Amino acid sequence: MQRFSVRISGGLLLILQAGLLHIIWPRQAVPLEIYLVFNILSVLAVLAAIGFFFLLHTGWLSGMLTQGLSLLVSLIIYTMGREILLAQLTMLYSIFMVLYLNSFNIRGAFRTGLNHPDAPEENP
Amino acid sequence: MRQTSDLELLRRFEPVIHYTRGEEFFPIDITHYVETCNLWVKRSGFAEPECLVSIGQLTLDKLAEPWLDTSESVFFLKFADPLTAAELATYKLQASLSRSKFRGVREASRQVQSVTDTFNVLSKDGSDEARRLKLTVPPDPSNVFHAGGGRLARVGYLSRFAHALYQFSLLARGRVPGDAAAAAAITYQNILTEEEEYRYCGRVVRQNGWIVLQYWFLYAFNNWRSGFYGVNDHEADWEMICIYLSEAPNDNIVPEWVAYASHDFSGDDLRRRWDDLELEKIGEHPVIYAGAGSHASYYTAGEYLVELEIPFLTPLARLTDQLQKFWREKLRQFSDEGLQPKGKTGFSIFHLPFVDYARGDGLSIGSEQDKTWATPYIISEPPSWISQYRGLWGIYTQDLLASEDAPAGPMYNRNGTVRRAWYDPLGWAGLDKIPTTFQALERVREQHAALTKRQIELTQMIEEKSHQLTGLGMEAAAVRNHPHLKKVYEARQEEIKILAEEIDQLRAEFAENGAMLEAFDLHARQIERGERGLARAHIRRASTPIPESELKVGRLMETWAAISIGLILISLVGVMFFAPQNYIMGLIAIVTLFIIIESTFRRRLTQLVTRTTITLAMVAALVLIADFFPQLAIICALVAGGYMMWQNLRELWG
Repeated sequence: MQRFSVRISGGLLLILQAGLLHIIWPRQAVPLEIYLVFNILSVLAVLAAIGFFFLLHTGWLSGMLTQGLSLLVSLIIYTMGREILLAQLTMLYSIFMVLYLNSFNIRGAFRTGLNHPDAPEENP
Repeated sequence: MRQTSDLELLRRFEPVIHYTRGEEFFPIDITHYVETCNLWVKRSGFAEPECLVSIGQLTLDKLAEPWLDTSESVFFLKFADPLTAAELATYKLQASLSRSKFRGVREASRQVQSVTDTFNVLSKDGSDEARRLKLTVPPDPSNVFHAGGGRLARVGYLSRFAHALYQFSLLARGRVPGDAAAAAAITYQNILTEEEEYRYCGRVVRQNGWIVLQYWFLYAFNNWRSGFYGVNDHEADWEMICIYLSEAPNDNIVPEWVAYASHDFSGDDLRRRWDDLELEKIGEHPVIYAGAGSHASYYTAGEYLVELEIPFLTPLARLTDQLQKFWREKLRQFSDEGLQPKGKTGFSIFHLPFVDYARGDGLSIGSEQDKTWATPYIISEPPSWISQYRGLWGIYTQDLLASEDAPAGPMYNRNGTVRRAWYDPLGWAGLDKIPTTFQALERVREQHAALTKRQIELTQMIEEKSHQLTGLGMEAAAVRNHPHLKKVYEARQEEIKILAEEIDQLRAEFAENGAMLEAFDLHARQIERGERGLARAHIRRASTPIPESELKVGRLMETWAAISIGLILISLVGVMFFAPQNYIMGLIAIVTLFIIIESTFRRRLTQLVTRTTITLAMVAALVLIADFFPQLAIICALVAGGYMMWQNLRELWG
């Protein structure tokens, strides 16, 4: 995958996640602490998206950290038996993002010299 | 005549040993060692050990006398008696002055000499025993060991915890007294002062066409634990290496393999081919890097972490490897393990923070080195002091793990059974399945001839049985439509089934043998061309030194590694004491905090975040699969059905 497409697709996916976290966890529906946590995570996702645009390693790390925290909080909410459907939706998107962020193409774009052994040659 | 040729062979290939700076014990002359020892017996129960032969009266001949006692009794030698308080204090002072970083070498030498002289004056009034232990040779300040980067920082928490437990266990187990290493060092130095020589015992064994040269080295003491932060201390340390030679048709002797004993390991991993680049040689002399204090032999200079393979975790490690392969190759996901060299992954290998320092920067013994070998003792026909004396060659500590007990002689294990390295030097290094280069072609041809003979037999058998089978087939066909011969028909059918299976197996064997004959032909041609295949194909897991990059550990990391386990325990006790109601949460918080700190020090924060997130993603995926299993099953069935329809219609419409 070309670096330009990594910047755009990764950035957009993270911004989409920030929006989703903000929208599906509205202040009226959930307790304040959950609302705050997900809002902080959506800010982190926006920061990660900016990092992606500039292809910074911290951007990738922030993106991964967003997924980890998002999954952790969703699992805690799920085990507490509250807002199960929203937690499931959040988990589903985060799982997709983890697979995306950890794929060889994406990590290769952030680390020079790292390519999947079977990955097809990339056009310059 | 045979003895002379054995000696020539041994001297021609005798190894060069590079020791680490700070090493105090080198291969000692057997006679000097035994004559310095006294012989003891420890009988069962709480009986105190009894001295059978005192110092100065023990000789190799005396040792070879049949020493009989009850079956539980243990005979052992004692090399050095404990030091008096004054002797130990002087020795420690000498050592600390020698290690002082703040004085120049000359100044340190002067101080050491001054302390030594003072002690010698004081000891003149002492007993004969004290005079025997007088400190005549001050340690060389330039030959001092420095441990380098923190060994604890090189391993994880679990290994550090295991290390702490091991250290604690020493308090409960029998162990060599604290001053034993100092006493042995002084005694050994006195022997060297009287007559400086370095000698080994050489043995030549002829087995399966191989000529095996065994070099046995006796060290007066193994001070790995007390001198180099290692696993154990014990009096007497027998080490050995083997060189495997073959005899060419023109009577030339050709070296083919070497095997270095390293702790109690055995098998293929010990062995290196003579042309292996890892094996250093000076002329025809292989080079050994001896571990400081442990004297274990290594092929490459460096520092080696002690590895422990846990066999029952091997299937789990294999499963993890498979999952990681699926993760990398099918899901096209990145994995840190994929970047590591083969053989280094898997958690069935447990690292302990004990380092074998085989730096090779100290004294060297051997051809063209600082010191050379004295004429060796030939033990090809084992002398009676080897074959008759089955006791230990140093102090018997009654250690529950036997790790601090001295070893028995070259021929025996501690329990009196014969060592494998002695009775089967080929099998010990996994060489019993390999013929010499000059026998290989003959062996392949023999196998080829045997297999060809078998093929002829198989051809005849297949022909005969096929003939029988068609006969039975005809019988069955003839009686098939006759109701009164139904039983005969059924019996024939059964016979046909059994015979057909038998013929099928014979044909499969014939086909397999055909492929093997082709492989034999190819292999024979390779041997004729002098091709020997890969030099390291037999190695499953070789000992490798710690990489240079990992040796550079920051001071902060070292300090953290040294205090972390203690801090965890104190923190856990703190939580139990101050917040028992939140113990579980406190435990999780402490463990998390310590993991984050450790990862930060090791610069593995990214790895920690990635691994934790992936684990959480897997847990979440399992949760979703469990919640939506019926829906997922329906979707999968719909997709499969649609795919099959599409495939069939595509074929139908061309």
